[in-house]
Amino acid sequence: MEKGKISSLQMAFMMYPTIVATALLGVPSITAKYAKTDLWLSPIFAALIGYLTVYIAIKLHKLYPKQTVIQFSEQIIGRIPGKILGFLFLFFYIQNTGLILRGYGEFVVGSFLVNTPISVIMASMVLLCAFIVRGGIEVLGRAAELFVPIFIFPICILILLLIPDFEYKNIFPILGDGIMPPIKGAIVPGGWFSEFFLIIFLLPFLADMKKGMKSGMMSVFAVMMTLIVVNLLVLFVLGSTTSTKLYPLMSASRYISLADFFEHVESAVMAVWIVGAFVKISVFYYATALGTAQWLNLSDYRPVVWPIGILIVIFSFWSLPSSMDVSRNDINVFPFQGTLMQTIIPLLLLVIAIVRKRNHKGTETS
Amino acid sequence: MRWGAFLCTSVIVILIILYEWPKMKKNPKKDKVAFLTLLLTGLVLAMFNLPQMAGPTQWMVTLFRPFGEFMEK
Amino acid sequence: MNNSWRQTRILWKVKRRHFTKSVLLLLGICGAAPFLSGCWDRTEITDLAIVTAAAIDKKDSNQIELSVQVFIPSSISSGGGQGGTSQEGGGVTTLVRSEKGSNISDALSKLQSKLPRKIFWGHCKVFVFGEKLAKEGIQEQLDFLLRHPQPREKANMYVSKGKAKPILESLPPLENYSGEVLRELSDLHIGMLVTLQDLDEMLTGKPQAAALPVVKILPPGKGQKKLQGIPYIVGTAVLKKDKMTGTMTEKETRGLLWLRDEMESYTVTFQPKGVKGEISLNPVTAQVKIIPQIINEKWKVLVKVKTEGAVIQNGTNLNLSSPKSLKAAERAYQKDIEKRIEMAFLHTQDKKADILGLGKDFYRKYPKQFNQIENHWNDIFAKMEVEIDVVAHIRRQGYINKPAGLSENEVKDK
Repeated sequence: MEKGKISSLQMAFMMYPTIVATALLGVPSITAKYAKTDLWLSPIFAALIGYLTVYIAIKLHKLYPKQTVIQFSEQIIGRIPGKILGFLFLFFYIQNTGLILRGYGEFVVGSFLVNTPISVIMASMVLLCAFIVRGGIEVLGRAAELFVPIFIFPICILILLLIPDFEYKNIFPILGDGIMPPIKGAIVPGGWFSEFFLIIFLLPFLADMKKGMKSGMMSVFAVMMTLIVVNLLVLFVLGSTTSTKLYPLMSASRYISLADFFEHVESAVMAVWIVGAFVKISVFYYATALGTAQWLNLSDYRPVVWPIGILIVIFSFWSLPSSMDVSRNDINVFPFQGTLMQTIIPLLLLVIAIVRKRNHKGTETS
Repeated sequence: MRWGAFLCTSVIVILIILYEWPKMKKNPKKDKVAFLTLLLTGLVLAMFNLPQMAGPTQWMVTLFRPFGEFMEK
Repeated sequence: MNNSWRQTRILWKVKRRHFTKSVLLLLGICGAAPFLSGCWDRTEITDLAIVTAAAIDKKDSNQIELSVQVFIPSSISSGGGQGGTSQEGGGVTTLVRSEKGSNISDALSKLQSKLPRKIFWGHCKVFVFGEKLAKEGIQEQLDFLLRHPQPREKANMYVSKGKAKPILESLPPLENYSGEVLRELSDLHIGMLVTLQDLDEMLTGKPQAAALPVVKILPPGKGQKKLQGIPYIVGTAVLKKDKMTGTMTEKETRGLLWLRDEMESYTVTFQPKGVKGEISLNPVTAQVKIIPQIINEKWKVLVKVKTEGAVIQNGTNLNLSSPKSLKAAERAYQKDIEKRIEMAFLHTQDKKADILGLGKDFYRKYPKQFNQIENHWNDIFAKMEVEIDVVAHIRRQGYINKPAGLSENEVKDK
């Protein structure tokens, strides 16, 4: 079905924007709402979910090499329940790709292309992603390799340029209301970290499986560091107003002004963010298309790429009349749904698989 | 029923079929059936007034209501 | 032979296919270019009316008046060649339009009908609230400025003495337009420099009080045209919640700047004890630390100032080269700073508005205690004790080492 191979480094490069791209923009504000001045601690707690998810995914893959979750869940819990679970996974991924796409569209429409219909923006993004998904995993991996440096570099520049505006005092009090607020603030980024389960769709094509665990963990660590740095950045610049801003990083970047002439650089932030969102949507899209083809036992996943694109656009509108509904969904539903589907259910699968294998071995020897 | 959206989707669907069909000549029948079914699903869904319609996202909100209430506290 | 010929032919074919492919690709890329600018949000710079400053005034019966200062691009391109045309009054680079409405966006939509170009806020760096509006509350107008994607968080905020519209209308001789004058003055740190983001932070943060610089028109000199007065910063407006409750004079503002550690390059003049005349220091650098303390349930603030200066004028007969005179001068310097800070502090206490952001400092150090008293913080602030600890040094004395124009025996060495 997929003949391409990627390196473990490419996988890490694909996963990094997959988590960070959207987490950069809206999540600091949501975290700030719960954690107040301790928002920079939340990614540390949230990353635990990321480490756990990567560990589960790698363990599952070692038990069932060269298979994705859609295929091996049938072997673990039987044919019919496996199919149902596979359907739930596919459903979850289509729905969430739609939500990510909608979030992307809302951001572009809300802050830059105010008059452009959102469907045009989203459709053009899906078109682009569909081409790269059809290109296969190698193309996706190389695109990620190319784009991630472009993605990281401006963020570093942004930090440097904002240093004069930093108000370091904003970080105090540290843990003023105890440890609970940052933990509650970690719930939402935790949902984002659970997306690391997507590596289960990439692991079968890894050329150097041995390094898989290492690069997966590295990726989680990189994401955690990025989120900490970005959260500190917005805290230092925006202070107590962080939670009122919809896109804090954007507001902070608008604050850059060097020597009265180097200003208005937020379009650079947008460009960078679109690159990240492109990789993110592509990875989700790829997982969905590949999973659908495997679920239907097709000979190739390419024929379903275009139809799924249409479904993604449809899901990005379905029962979401306004951008407020999208962000409410990000807070109230996605963190729990994401963690349930991508961390807890895989954990159960792993436990069942281990028990089964052990029993199997036991019957063999006896 | 929104005719504009439906018409646009129909055009896109036709374009997709024109683009994809020649390439999948060698693929088994199952692939073609899946391809067409998924396209048809999309087309049918595009006929409705989606943003206002109750759908999977809405069900998820209902399903995760207790957690949602916890977050809104 | 035949074989190699065939090979070259195949190679040719491949090359040709490659060529057509790249041509098609190139055409495709070029063909996509017109679409890149977008269709719905296409804006040409010639279709934009760039707002350089805006003023919001209160009119009677729940109406506000929004005035915008719009930049006239042609004035620069035509006048730039000759240079200095603004001296003759011919180089008017901005125009001011105003319109009434129930809020900013309402007034704005009416204003748009008076301007042939689309109003663009992205370069508006100055917002002036009229005094009357500031007294009745600015929250409603602030919402527009923060919500709309175009106005920038870095824009400077002011309150005008009296109506705000004349500030935009004045035609300053030195700068291109009055908005620029205000911005430059703010950058010199003459008064407080408050950006939209700062204001938002002050109002949403713990202290719930804000301070904005007050601007006023400097009357034009004799023989100058009426509009040539320039706006300047005269003091500070004190806002409690979003309503202006009082003002502070220039001198108090300077003390405030000391307390907020925002003062930059200005001259300190003081009189040492027991001598005639005054000593001036410039530039003056300072490190100000505000340390909140709670000792035995008593809220107290300790202001630690470390300051140094260089003598720029010495009107006394003290010879600052001698350690004893220097000590005396330093002591006077220290007392002067103490007095300034104390005065500013007492004044803010008097207004019961924590424009120094002390509430934040207390919250940072004592979050639990602060949360308990958050509701009556203003009362606690008003009664709070302050301890000021100034360490002042004079580091340099310029090009001469004795007071100028005095003979040897007139100078007091000890």
